[in-house]
Amino acid sequence: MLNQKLIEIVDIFKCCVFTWGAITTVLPSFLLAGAIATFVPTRSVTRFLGPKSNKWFAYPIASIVGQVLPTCSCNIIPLFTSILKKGCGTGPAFTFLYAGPAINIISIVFIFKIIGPILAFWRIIGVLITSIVIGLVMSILFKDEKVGTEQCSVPTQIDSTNAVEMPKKKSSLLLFFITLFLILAIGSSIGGMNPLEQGDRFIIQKIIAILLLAGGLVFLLIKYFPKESALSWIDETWRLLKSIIPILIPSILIIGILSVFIDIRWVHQLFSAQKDALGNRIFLPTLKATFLATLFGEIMYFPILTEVVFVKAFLKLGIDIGPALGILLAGPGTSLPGFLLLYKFVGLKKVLAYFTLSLIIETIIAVTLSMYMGDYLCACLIAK
Amino acid sequence: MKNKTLIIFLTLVLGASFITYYKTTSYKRQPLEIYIPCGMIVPFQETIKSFVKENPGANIKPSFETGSVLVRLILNKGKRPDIFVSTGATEMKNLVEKGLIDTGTLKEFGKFNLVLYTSNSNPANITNLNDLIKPEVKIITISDPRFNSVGSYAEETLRNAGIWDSIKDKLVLTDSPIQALTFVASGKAQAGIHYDTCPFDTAPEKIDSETLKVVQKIPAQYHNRIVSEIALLKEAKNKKLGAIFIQFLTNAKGQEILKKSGIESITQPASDAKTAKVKIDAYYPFNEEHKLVGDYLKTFEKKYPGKVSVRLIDFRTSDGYDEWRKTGLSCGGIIINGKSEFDIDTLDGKKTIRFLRKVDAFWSKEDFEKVIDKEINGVN
Repeated sequence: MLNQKLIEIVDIFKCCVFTWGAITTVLPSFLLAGAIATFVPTRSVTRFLGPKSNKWFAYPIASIVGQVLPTCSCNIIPLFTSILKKGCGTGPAFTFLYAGPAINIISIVFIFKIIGPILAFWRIIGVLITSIVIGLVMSILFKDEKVGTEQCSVPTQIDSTNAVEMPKKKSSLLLFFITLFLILAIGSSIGGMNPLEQGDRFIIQKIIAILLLAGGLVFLLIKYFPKESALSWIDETWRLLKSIIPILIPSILIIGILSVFIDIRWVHQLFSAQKDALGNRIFLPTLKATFLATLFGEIMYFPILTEVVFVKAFLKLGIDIGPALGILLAGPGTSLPGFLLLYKFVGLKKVLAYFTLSLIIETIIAVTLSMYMGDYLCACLIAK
Repeated sequence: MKNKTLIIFLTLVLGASFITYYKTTSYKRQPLEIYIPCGMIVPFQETIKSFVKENPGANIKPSFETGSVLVRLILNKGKRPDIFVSTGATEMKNLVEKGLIDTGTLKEFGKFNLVLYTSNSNPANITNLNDLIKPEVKIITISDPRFNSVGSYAEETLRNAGIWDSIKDKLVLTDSPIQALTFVASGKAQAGIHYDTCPFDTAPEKIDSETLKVVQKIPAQYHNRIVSEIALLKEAKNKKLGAIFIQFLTNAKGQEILKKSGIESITQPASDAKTAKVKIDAYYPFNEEHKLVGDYLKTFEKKYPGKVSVRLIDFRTSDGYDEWRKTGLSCGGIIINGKSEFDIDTLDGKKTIRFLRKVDAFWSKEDFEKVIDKEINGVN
């Protein structure tokens, strides 16, 4: 019996998480995230976040700054308060707070690989829209009490580039990033999601291409990069792996156990699509299911990437695409512990406004996807 | 001078021949888009391969998806493939009701049976439909009967078996049949009802064969005859190649290919106009009002398999209009073996019937049945 349950737990993720394809996708994404954190000069972008900066720059930049710092909804709060204290605007700071945990390259690649391109795309768009709207509304609701200099300074926690010496040839850095992107692209095509695919006919060619690119990467590092910079990149990648993997693996198992024991009737009553006679979603039940799921995502604490695994498991149990996106949007950026921590720094009014705004915008985006984008059909449901 | 004239003449002849050839074969180069339920990947890939071999240059573009998803693509997203294929009646009916199918081209091409399946471990020890009412069976899953054929036949089976009321609270309805299979395979549900072919027979690679097993072949009397259907859409762009494809699929060769790929052939190739003794051509605008006539006429193909072929020609379409005009009819009517007027014997003596306009206007169903009987058996 126990053996059977263990098999079922592993089965939940057999086709998507525990695959070679996941490894060849996720590992390069860590290398790329490490490279971005090491070599992209954070200060050059965060200087646009000051309260007097042009809004057209400040908000989009605040929404993507999270690229340099993969973190979760709790760990980002000290960085958010540092940014606020150093004179950055309230609006961009809240945009950064919301988008930071959701927008990093590792989680984007992970969701693309594990769940698929439609939800990955909508998560990116949804996070950008939600974070920017939250920032803009918060800046209107709460005028900056302490207006700092035009350029807000950046806390040292998120400016790791200070100590890193850049390669002498700028083109070598560009080539370095292109090579990493290519490794990621080829790696992610291994064991694709195409349900008609019976096997990867080009697997050997792909592995050879990855090995050649990896060789090229090593050559670039040895020839053009200062030794310390190369080591910093490896350190940063290792730091990311150390901070994420030990949380992710047990989380996958816990979610697997949870999904084995959950009754699908319960999932269907609360979160599955309610459809008319032709199979089209009915608006009000869809809104209700999406709102409930988004509310759950708002208060539930998901360590980085675990919301993706959680949503995957529940998609296989039959939740609809809208509730799934609601959790994917709300999961990383907000949580009850995060709200409590935030309350200590910014007060009740701002926390309530942040919570309400994010819940409303996420629900609207998720319902829109659900009503117009059709069904999610996991490749696991079609292919073994 | 003579040579010049000859060269010009030959050039013109060759040019004209080329243009004629190009025009007469251009339909082959135009893509023929076919929407096919994903459970039929294997039989249709095989059929398409064979069709292209017989019709070199034919450009076939199949799209495989869950049947109900294909229906919604057509209804909601404005997609207009040339041909729609359905594993049962429900998906096709949903399109016919919206007036999107050229019902005159609708053909049946294969049949299915239902099976009751469980997980391989089958902890509730289910062996037949009646076991589903046992208290240890907590969850039964079928695809939503409103928009999935297999689900609608499953519901019909459970009702006719007299257990619907006892098990309806245990039912979980899924969007797609494959999701129901997954729930049973993962132990989330104890049993489900599905076709006997895909994936059990034709595509075992789609499920883990170690996790599912068929426990009962459901007797045919529990449900309506399950037949897969194919038809052209009214807005099909390549009707000519579409009609040739449908003909290919329903003729003996097409049926043989389907049979090899696991789809049971229908008893007689439906509506094989070449071999049928009685050929019925019905010319109507097949809207809601006249749909009943079409449905009624189609029952004769089932009643007299192989002996009667029925073509429903909608004269609102350009091809249908051309064909209708050639008959000399000026309103809706039926032509049987080239005639629309027949003498039949009644208690009051001989009576001449003209099959014009709709049923019960100039003719009754009784009249029609007598004529068909006479055409088949030579008596009435």
